[in-house]
Amino acid sequence: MNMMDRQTDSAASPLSGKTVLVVEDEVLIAMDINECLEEAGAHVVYGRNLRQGMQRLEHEVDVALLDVSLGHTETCLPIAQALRERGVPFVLHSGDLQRLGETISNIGAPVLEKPCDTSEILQALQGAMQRVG
Amino acid sequence: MKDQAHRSPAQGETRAQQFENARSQAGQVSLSGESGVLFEQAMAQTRMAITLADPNREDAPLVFVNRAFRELTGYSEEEIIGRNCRFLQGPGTDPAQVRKLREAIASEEVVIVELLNYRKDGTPFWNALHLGPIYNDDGSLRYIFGSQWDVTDVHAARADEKHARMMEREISHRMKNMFAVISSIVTMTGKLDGAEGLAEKINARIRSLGRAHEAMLEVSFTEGPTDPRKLFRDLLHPYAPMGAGSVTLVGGKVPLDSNVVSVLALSLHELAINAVKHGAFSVPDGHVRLDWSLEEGPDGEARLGLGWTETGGPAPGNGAARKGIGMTIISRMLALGEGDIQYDWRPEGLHVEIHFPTSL
Repeated sequence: MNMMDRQTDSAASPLSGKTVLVVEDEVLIAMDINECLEEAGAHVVYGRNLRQGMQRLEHEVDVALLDVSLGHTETCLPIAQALRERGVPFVLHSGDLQRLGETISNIGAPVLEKPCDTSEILQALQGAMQRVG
Repeated sequence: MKDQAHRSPAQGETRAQQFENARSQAGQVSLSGESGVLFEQAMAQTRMAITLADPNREDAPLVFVNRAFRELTGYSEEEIIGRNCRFLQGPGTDPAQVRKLREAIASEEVVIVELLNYRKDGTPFWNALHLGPIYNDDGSLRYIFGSQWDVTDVHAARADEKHARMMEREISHRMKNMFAVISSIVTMTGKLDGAEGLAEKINARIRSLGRAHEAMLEVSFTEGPTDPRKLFRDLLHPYAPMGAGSVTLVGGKVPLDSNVVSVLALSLHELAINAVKHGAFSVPDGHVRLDWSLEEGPDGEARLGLGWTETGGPAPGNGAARKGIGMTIISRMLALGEGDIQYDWRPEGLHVEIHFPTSL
């Protein structure tokens, strides 16, 4: 992809100019996701654990991508609840569907299974925004 | 396990009083007259299943069993007395263990075996069986004493442990395979796309990641601080010109998370590759000292501090000018995890300081 393509992409992307909250405890995965979102013209606020994710809610967020399992013991559930109260759409991202199946279905949001392509993530976030908007 | 048969001494009794009481009680015992009664009472109370077999009679039948034995096996006294104790054996009993018992009895030795036995209702249990000879005053064999304890729980725990170890090996095997498959895909794609050099760079990073996670496979991250020495060794030795001799590792146990392992692996990989190309690992006498310690970050969060010191290699010159892709990856990765990295191109070799949270 050359620079020209990228620019047209970001202008066309529904994520352009939006603020996206990303909560993900694997920094390497976060690095990849955040860069793709930024390339699509989005502004990323990032939290690498539950505490930071909650703190980032001080920002006005348009849509969020939440890693379900955070650290050994925590899940993104409190963040999901806070987002729901505010009517902010979000997508769950999990590599552990088997173990977290119940938690995930209780939250009741679209789910992406890790590992997944960043283009799928962009699409899912766009889809989530459209459903609300 | 509390043995109810052991009564605790009355409260307020001093040790000296206890001793005195025990002595006076012992004095009242006429061993010849009362030992039978005492034996009966002790046998009835103990929770250890106890048997006596008579080796002087045909097929060494059981002549005495206590209450605990009847409870353990589910048989009544009439069903037991007069039979050889092999009636507890069944299809799952290991013949080798039985042979061991037989040999010990024949040679009048004490033996302890763990045997799969069966209750009257057919349920199996693991029996830790102790057999030993009891002699008459004249030295002739009088009884074979047996004590048995149900160790089914211990066996189950051991089986769980064995299963866990098997799973660990299986996971290790699958993980190695997975990393190998990923590597092959990268190499193949690189070849077909005319990007072999790029494929090799990617592969080297994947291999380091694989080594790091392999090294940490036996570590349970939830069980507190771990020694990262094996991790560092496995990561650095492949790049060190003299292997272990080119690397000094200094530091103790630190809390580590699996996602921290990835960050550590890639960071150290880039530093090692850089040393191979430009630094201490480019000459046989070059040396890298890696030290690490636990620090407290600005917000009280535990942080890992790493010091990377190269010596004996060529003077690094202005390394900042050639900050490559690897360095860029480390910087971004650490920044995202609220860590930082500082390079100091000293004349004697590169010195790097890395700090980041122990739990990302």
